[in-house]
Amino acid sequence: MSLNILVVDDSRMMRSVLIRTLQISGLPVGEVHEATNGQEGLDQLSKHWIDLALVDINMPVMDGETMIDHMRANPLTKETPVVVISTESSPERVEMLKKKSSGFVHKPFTPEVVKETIERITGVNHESGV
Amino acid sequence: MNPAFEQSLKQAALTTFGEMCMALPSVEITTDQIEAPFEAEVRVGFHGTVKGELSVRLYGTVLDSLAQGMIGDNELMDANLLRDALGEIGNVVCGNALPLIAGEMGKYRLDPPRPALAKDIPLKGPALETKTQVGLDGGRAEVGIHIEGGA
Repeated sequence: MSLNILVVDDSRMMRSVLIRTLQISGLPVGEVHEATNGQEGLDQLSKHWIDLALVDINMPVMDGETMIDHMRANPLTKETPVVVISTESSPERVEMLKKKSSGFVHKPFTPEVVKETIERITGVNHESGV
Repeated sequence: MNPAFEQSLKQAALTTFGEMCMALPSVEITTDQIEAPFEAEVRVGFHGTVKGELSVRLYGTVLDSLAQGMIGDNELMDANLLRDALGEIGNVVCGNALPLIAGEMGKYRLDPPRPALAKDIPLKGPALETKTQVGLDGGRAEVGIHIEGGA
């Protein structure tokens, strides 16, 4: 089983960093789709089968939190795992974002943290690929 | 100059450059690093429990290697990608410094970062009351903050 992953971040650099992290993780990654804001992310979700979304919070047009709210309100995407990747540090905000998502990764992050979070959420690991 | 804030800025800078950019930032600054010319600046506004602006200024020739360190690959860096990397550096330094400055229970939102290379129009912003700097291979970074009401 390979994971189709959606990376949503307004920073081209951060999208590249995350894609590079996925490439070296050893995880069975299938298609990787990119979006520069929450609205583009929802558009991508309507076009492609996505197993996991990595979502930034502070973005123009539509922020990540609003995107997650839209996903949870849509029967087709309400169960899609979402990992929030953000600089948010306030415990109250982080707890709220954790409740809305499947996992939270704080920036700066190491590739290991991203990999472990994805493995925990999806049940897929780099050794078995399942 | 607030020594506690200065220490918070330094810690956030060391963490960001070390963990995100895979650089080896140093607390000690050499004469060459002090005399290095201006390379780029990013400013990030924030509002909430505390309101103000944070600046990261780079001196020397450090941005390209910081960006390469972020991406972990030898990718050709154009000016837009360098601005993008600079913006993310500002975003992460600010996001990590504010909890140390405002307290963990502080609530704030970050504005989109405003990056500018030396060849761009210089950024305008409020004077920075508290500053610190860290050494980097090929130059240095100066991190400063303005907090409304005084830092």
